Amino acid sequence: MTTASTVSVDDFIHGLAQCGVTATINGVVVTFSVEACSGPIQGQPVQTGVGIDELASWPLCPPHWIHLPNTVVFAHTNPSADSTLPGWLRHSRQVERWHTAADPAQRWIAHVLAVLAQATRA
Amino acid sequence: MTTPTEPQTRAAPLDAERLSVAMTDVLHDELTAHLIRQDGQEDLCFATYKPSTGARRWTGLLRTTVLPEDGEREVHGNASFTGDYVLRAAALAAQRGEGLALLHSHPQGSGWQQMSREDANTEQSYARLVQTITGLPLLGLTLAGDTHTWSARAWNSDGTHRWCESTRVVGPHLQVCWNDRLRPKPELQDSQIRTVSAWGEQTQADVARLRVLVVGTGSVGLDVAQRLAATGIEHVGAMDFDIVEVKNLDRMIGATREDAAAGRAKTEVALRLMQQAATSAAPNMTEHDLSICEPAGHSAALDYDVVISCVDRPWPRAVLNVLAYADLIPVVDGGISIDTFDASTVGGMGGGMRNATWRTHVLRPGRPCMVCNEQLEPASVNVDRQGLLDDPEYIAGTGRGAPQRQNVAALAASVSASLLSQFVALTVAPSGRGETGHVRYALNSGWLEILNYTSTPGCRWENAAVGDDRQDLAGPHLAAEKARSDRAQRTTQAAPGKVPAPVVPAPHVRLADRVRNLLPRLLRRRP
Repeated sequence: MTTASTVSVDDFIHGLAQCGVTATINGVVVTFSVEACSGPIQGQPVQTGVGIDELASWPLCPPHWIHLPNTVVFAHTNPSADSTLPGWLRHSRQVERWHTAADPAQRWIAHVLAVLAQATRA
Repeated sequence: MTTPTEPQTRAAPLDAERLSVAMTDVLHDELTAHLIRQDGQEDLCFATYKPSTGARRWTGLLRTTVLPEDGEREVHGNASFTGDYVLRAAALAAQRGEGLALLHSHPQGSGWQQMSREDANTEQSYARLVQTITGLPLLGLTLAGDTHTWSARAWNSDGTHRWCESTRVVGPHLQVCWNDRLRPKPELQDSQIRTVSAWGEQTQADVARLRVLVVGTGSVGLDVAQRLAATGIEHVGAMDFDIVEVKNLDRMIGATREDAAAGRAKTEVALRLMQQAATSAAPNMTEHDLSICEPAGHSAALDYDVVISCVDRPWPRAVLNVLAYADLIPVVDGGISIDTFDASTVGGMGGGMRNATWRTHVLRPGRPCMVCNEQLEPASVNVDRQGLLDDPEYIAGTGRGAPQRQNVAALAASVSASLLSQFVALTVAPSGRGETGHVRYALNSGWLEILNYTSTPGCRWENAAVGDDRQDLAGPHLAAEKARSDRAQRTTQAAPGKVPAPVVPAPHVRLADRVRNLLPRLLRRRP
């Protein structure tokens, strides 16, 4: 697995900042907080993240995994405990038609919020 | 053969084995409009460039013209310019992190132009200044007015220069102007009479000197590689990291049971078959035991003039999708999709064929990229890159099962044919027309269509001529590393001089394979 260049990671963090979201590097994951805007946990702040390795091709290609604390659960998911933070899981979620996004960071936040609409708390 | 164990150091400007210059047809037209004057006098201007550094070739990719402003140059039969013009152009190039090229015309010239003493003195006198300001060597280009072809050289800061091997203009017609001294015209062969009669000696000389890389040497790539060699192209590269397996033998025409039993590299088989098919007097077929996704594979690809993409995975196609635009190396891409009925309704291995569709297209500035024409889904690139498409645990978790990847030898030939047609249209341009655009054929309806895709506004992939500033999608490729390691282990375990075969085919099968291999060589005629 390739480690992303600092340029790609910085670009991702900068893009989120432009959207008013502060992100930080925690080990192998860039983490940030969003507020779920629909679904069972609507209105709750949720920590989420993206694996640094997956940012190697940012912004041409989106990450595949959404990293979340294991207290955030889904009825149907394809999770993995690899390459994430202790007590977290990463969930397989594909973003379709990525190239139509005018602002990649904004599109990523929208993707995370759409996924969180299906989430509940353990 | 190129392997990852070779030095990875990229060639520094002017230390590279070969030099070249490239530009888009749009920039070529813009420069030609300025340099070829109605009054027949010479003219000049500057342009900025970005370097593209391959394993053995260094290319200057022209990007933007810097036309003279009032009082910056004089036309008097010849053309001259002021020091202020050089300084302005060099400062602009430096500001953009680009190099500088000085271009002038020889209105009556035809083909590759040499420099007059005056030309050489002028370029030499500014070489050090330009390199000091931009950090990159000054390029000199001459446009021949008669044929609208470019010759080029690069200047060291010590005032010496090196000639480029070629210049290429990338558009619907890939026009490469060759420096005959560095890359002489190949001698025509009796075995090429039919080919040469189809498009003439000059076209044959131009096409035969192209360096063409075939990425992926499976069912389609193996066929394409052999036909390029048979066409007389002197330098064809075959890139793949995989081995021949029994399951490949229904499509890899020319690969034998012995190849599969020995677990030979697909590139080794491709090299053997290309050498057998070659009609050039001096064939230089090369195997790259690599993935295009690996840094060494990507660097090797930058040494070629055209790439033919015969891979179907998202990651390699993404790498090629960047290279086609960033490095001005046209990529001829294509593939087949076979649609089957649900096996569960019929039973057995397959439910029967519903349809088969194959598509081919050329990726280059001016045509939509593979994302814009819907042949590459960016979201799948990271899935492939992480090896998830081959990870049973991940696949089980998706609940969809592994993709079947159906293919049929009889139809793979149609993909080869369509790719090769695109290649010929691009490089030969029958009736002056170049490649035709995105072609799709549907088997069950017999429809052949040209699909008019357009680029997505703001497409981030079609970033033309950025060269080494491209977004680098290459990286370590675990499957390629494992394939090479497994093969090396088998070779070590085998006794010297013997085929490292885990399974030895029956004697009659081996004999048949050998006869099949020997026959073309025995029947091959050379003058």
